[in-house]
Amino acid sequence: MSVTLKPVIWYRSKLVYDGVVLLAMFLYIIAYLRLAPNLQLVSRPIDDAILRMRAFGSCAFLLVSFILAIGPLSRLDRRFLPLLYNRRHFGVIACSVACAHVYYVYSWYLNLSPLNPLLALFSANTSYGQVLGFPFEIFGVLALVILLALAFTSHDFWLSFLTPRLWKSLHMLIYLAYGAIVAHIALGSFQGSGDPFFVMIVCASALGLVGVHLAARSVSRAPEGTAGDDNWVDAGLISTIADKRARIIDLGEGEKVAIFRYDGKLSALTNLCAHQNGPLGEGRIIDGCVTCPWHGFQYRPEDGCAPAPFTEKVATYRLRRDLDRLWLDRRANPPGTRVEPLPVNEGVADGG
Amino acid sequence: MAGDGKDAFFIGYINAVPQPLGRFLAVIGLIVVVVMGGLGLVLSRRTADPGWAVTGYQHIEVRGILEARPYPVLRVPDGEGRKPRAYLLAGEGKYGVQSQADGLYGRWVTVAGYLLKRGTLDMLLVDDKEGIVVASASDVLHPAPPQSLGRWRLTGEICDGKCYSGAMSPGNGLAHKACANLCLVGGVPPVFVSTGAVSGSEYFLLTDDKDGVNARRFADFVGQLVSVEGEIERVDNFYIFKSDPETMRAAGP
Ligand code: HEM
Ligand code: FES
Repeated sequence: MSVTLKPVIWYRSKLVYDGVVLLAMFLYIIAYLRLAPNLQLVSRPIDDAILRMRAFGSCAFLLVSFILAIGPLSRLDRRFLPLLYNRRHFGVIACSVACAHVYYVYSWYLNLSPLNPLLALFSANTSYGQVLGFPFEIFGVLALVILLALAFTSHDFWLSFLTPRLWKSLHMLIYLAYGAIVAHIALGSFQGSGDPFFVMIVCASALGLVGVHLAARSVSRAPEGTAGDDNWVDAGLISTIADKRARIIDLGEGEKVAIFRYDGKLSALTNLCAHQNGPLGEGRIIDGCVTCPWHGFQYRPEDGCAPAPFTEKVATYRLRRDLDRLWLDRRANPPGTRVEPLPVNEGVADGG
Repeated sequence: MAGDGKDAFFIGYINAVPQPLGRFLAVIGLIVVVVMGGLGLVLSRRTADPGWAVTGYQHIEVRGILEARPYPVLRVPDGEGRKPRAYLLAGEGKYGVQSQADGLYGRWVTVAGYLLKRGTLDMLLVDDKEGIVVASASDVLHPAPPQSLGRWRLTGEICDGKCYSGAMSPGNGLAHKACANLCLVGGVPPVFVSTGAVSGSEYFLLTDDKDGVNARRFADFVGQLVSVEGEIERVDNFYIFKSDPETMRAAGP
């Protein structure tokens, strides 16, 4: 957690994480550029620049696919959660690989002509009206611009500068970028060399990604609170919330609340972590504090404040009970507002 | 905590990873590394064959008569057991040699450059400096006039002659379209690669039936399978396809 922003903080686990990602990337590139050419069945070697643009382009695609799978995978199986916390470095690496791809396209396909390469990028092919021969590079440009913007704003400085909500919306553009990359490949490479195995890999990645997202959605969808009076919503049975864990209540319009049970008490906080909007409700109570599963920011359950010396605060909510049934006030308190925790055993048998 | 690590809770800034979770992550890491290495190898190994071309980048000097057909073509007369040959000319980078050739058409010249060969196509990549210089006339022969092979509808791909003849590997297809268009705009002669041969050749210098040099007319069709009608002429070893752009249409694969 931060009191002030540091450039980048390195932990051993971060180094191992980055090391594995870089190793996978280097192995891919070396296998593609150095080992495989000896095994290719070609009458003359493929141009170095073309082999490189393909190696770096396909590598960037695979990395981005994997990055996008981490979120839903960790919803489905919590053991993937550690892969989440350093996703940003992973993203920056993928963006650099994409830049290498573009560099080789630029220096080989777009360079050395009467047109300036940047102008050439947009004017060499203008067949927008057709599918075959469509200027697929334009989708690459869109993806690259997004990847660069996300890599550039990946540091926590931008997170607090832009506010977590805006930052999160900006970073959702990665899905647009992914769609653009798939279009870029489908209209370009598939129509060019059209290797069926590559087509299969790309389709499997894209469909697999849609699959894990759908699966994760069905897991994480909380039961919609049924309206009691106007502001109080039914939050289910107390007895079914596990100790030191939370139930997530979906209030609609993206607002979710995490109701934690700990030390025989119940408290409700927003589900959004003040750091990067991580899902607090998927975290746990550790040392008496709600602990975010993403980067470990902590909050006291009764007032949503991070313990000193930290300064982060999240919104709290009021709870009330009707026998074993829990009711949640949908009107959020300002971040850091203390709410008296609701005791679990108040004359009523705790079913658990 | 359950032994399979499913219940382990890891926080990024704490270094110690609980044991079963650590094993799980190590396995995931290993799978990612191995799969990436394997994919790199397999995808690159499966690269499509760009086709044979002679690209030793042998530097040669050839003497002959420069003609505009309408792209600059060097006609080299027979002699010492050689048949007469015609060379297509292109410049360095994505440029034609129209500006160097200007004013020299119909004259004897010596052309210096690198030789590319693919099928019936011979192309010289003319040096930027002193690539085409006026030479003494030879009394040996006047180049033969083009011989007409009649009207044809051909199916094939429009490429830029330079990349296709071997300057790039591969130098055709839709992935390469923007690059090919740039070559054509720069004055590199377009080449039609037919799926079927006409009198032994699958390669044709592509012009339009007005003998115009307006490669932009073909831009939307470059790199894909098209069919088009036109007159075919033979000039020594090489063929010219004077196509009628009105009849050009996309052909099924
Ligand atoms: C300015 C932006 C971009 C341009 C101009 C561009 C251009 C190209 C070109 C010309 C090709 C065809 C290469 C060939 O096989 O001859 C290509 C292929 C490809 N590009 Fe891009 N690209 C851009 C951005 C991107 C980005 C951001 C990504 C992914 C993160 C990407 C991924 C790919 C992939 C996966 C291929 C197919 C490689 C293969 O055939 O194995 N490109 N791109
Ligand atoms: S989102 Fe980073 S700690 Fe919660």
